[in-house]
Amino acid sequence: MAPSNAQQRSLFPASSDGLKIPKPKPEAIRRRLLGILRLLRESETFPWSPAQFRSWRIVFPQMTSWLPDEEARDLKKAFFREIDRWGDEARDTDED
Amino acid sequence: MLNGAVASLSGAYGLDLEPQQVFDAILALLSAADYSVRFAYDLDNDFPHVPFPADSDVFAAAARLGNRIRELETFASAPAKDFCWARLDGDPASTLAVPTRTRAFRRDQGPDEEAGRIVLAEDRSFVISGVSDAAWKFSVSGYPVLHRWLRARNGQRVDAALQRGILDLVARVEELLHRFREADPLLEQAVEMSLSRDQLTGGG
Repeated sequence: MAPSNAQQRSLFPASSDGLKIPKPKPEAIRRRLLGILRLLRESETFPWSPAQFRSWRIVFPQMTSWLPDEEARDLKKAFFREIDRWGDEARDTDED
Repeated sequence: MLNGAVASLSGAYGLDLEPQQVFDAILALLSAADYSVRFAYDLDNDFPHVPFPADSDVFAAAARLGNRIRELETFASAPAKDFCWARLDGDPASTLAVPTRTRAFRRDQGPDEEAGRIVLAEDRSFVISGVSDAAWKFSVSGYPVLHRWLRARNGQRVDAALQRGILDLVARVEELLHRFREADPLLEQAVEMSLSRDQLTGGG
């Protein structure tokens, strides 16, 4: 049975004060990005589909924005070095 | 759910997002004129997909556009002047008398067949000119917005407020249709390069 108007709760909170949006924690972002680098280093074949590769090439640098500047720079450098190391395999994926 | 989605998107975009921005971006992507064509099967059989773009710039553009669509749909702000091309012509009838849908819209003859007039009086002496065919046909869930809005006011005195209201609504629909088309390239980019479930959840 549908609740009466009096019983039905509001879809939205009365005020936005109680709405706590958790912010990404740098340590979680760092763990995630290091995991991606490890995947690129340890995989025997290029680990991503063309769509995944295109997406990660954009998203990885964006995620580094949560980290201190120097660390972000180093991680981006390491990421693109790994992509370069995969050479033709990554490039072929990109062109599919 | 909302908190988790906002936090996940913030992480993937490297941006400190507000829930309102996420809502607006979703609104823009779902409003794209192409959306119901691309996702016809999902809409018919499953939950509709929201393809979040991988690129934070595309997300930001969608959030800005969604903000404007929300303002128009909730009457929070007026339509832009560029879309206020319709005008009232003829002798303002004393009361509104919009006929049935098939008799209410008269397409213009001549080169501009994409526009026409909405009849506001039984004897056709009072009309809104310059209404696009698309605006006249615009419907939400099968509800033809312009015709139903006008018919619901039949019998009301045609005073200055009602005249302003009529012109505001037509311009609002014209601008909305334009904004929906603006959302098409954003949807296309979102579909072409989406955030994956892995990227949003931090999975493998």
